[in-house]
Amino acid sequence: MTVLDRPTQRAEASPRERSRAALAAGLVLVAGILLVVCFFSITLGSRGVGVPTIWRAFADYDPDDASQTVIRELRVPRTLIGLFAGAALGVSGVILQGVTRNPLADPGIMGINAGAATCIVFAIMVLGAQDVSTYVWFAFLGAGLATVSVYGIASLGREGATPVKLALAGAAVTAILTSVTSAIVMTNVEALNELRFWQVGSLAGRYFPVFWQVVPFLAIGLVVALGAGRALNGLALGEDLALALGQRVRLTRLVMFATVAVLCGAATAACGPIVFLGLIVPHLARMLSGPDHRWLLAYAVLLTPSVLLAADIVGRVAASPGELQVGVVLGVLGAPAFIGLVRYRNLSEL
Amino acid sequence: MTSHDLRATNLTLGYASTDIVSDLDVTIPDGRITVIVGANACGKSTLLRGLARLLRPRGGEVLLDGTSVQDMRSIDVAKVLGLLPQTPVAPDGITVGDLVGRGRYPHQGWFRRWSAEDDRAVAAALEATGTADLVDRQIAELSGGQRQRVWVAMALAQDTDLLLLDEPTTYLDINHQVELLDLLTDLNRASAKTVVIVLHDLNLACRYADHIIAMKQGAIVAEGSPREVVTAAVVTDVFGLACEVVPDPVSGTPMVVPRGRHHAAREVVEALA
Repeated sequence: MTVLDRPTQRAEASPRERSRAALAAGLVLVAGILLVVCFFSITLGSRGVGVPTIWRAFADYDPDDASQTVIRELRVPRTLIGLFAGAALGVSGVILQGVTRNPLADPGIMGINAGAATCIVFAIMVLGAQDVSTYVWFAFLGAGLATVSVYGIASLGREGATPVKLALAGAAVTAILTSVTSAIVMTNVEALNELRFWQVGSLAGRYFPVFWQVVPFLAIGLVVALGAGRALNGLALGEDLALALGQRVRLTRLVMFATVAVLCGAATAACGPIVFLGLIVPHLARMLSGPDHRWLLAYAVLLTPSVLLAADIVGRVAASPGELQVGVVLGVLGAPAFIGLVRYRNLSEL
Repeated sequence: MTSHDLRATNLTLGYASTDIVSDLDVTIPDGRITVIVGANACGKSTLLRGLARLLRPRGGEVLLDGTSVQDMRSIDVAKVLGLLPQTPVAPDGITVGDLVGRGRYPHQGWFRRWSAEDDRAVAAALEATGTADLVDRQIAELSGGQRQRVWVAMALAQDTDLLLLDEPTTYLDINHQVELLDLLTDLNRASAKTVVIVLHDLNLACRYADHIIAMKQGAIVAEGSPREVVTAAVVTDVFGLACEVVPDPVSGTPMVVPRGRHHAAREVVEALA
């Protein structure tokens, strides 16, 4: 058509290209931060270790050196789990906020982590599930059921799932799930102790077996999530426009919710229900990346594990020689950040 | 611009338990501007959504070039037919350039990312709508009139032969309404783009439409040229409004002057009595 056929002169570097370079540079910087955090996550703790010890622990392992054992058996798996679980929760937050066009959408607020937790506790305490590879399936089930029910409840009525309705439905479902979890746990004092730490969210005591059991799910989920940028950009325009632009909206939503259920289920199975992370960090990432979900997902996948691991380090250092669970640290730091978010952002728009 | 045939046969559309449009037949004239008018809740937006494949028909079908749109891939429909919904909401923080670029969605895919063709289409859409100088501005900073032009630019970037717009003049002042309808007329004349608009303002509808469709309670009451359709009898039937229809002093098209219960000049009241 004639109107669109007119050729246009192209400047040396269009603003689009310039901002692309800035975004890429920012991404490299964020990746650098993550590397530094990972380094400290391995070296810092009640037993400080240096780089040579880390090197030897893998290149020339001496089982008699306690420091090397700590690195191999504790710190590295702990860091890897934090890396994957953090990335999973971060992209889940981005996806939920994008699909629901709701700035309050988050695996914690929507009760998804609580759903996974309840089913995990049920599997362990009632069905006698022993290891992560068994109860991770219950985590998916719980996460999926919670997603569907919270979004379903919030969507009732004319105006659909508004931020306030979504938060209320999430709070209600979380309250129910938490009391169910407590009821199950209270019947068995022996297992209560072990579950106590898991329930507040912790990276401690998560060793390589746990890592290998959840990492396939997290890896698949992350690959799907990182490929979802274009689809989320379409959904961000609203259902009508997304449809008018040729997007298969229902299918996309379904795939996205399933991905979130897998990511949150596996992350929760690995480190317990961690709150605030999937809510706050996507907003932080959005400040840096702007509204394009392809960049936003890339930023979130690097930033969220940085925050999770940093909180884990804070918990280790602040309460040394003991430690504070990462869920507690994130709760303490996340609550003011959350209040700030509600206070300074126009939450009706996304 | 290739010519297209968009029509509905025995179309029934609805939400939840109610049918909004029932058993409707319509053919959209190719390469012309069609305006759909009718009272609130008469089903005109629903018809538009049905034509654009946003609603699955409860009965009958919508045919695009002889094929039911339900049997077509959504992306293939989106390459031929674009729709600008009523009061779309832009993502927070998005710039004009990025928003218009999202109109290129149906032309991209997993293996076909942003191309020179996309750049060309976006630049042309910005130029056609006079929004090229806004390209780096955020949508939130724009005035209502500018914002609506940007949305039209996004729909243009989609580069479809048919463009459907649902009440595009809502929230615009009279100057911007005329400006927008002039713009759509330019596009129609320059490239024979088929344009379908749902409009509330009957006088603007008469002036800008080649073809008017008047709807009432989910059915078409009258259709044809503005002169054929917009008569006092039809307006009274469709809107329940007593009125006079006089020639528009600028365009000569019909102009509806409502009677109302007050403010009539004495001689008019006597003449009507």
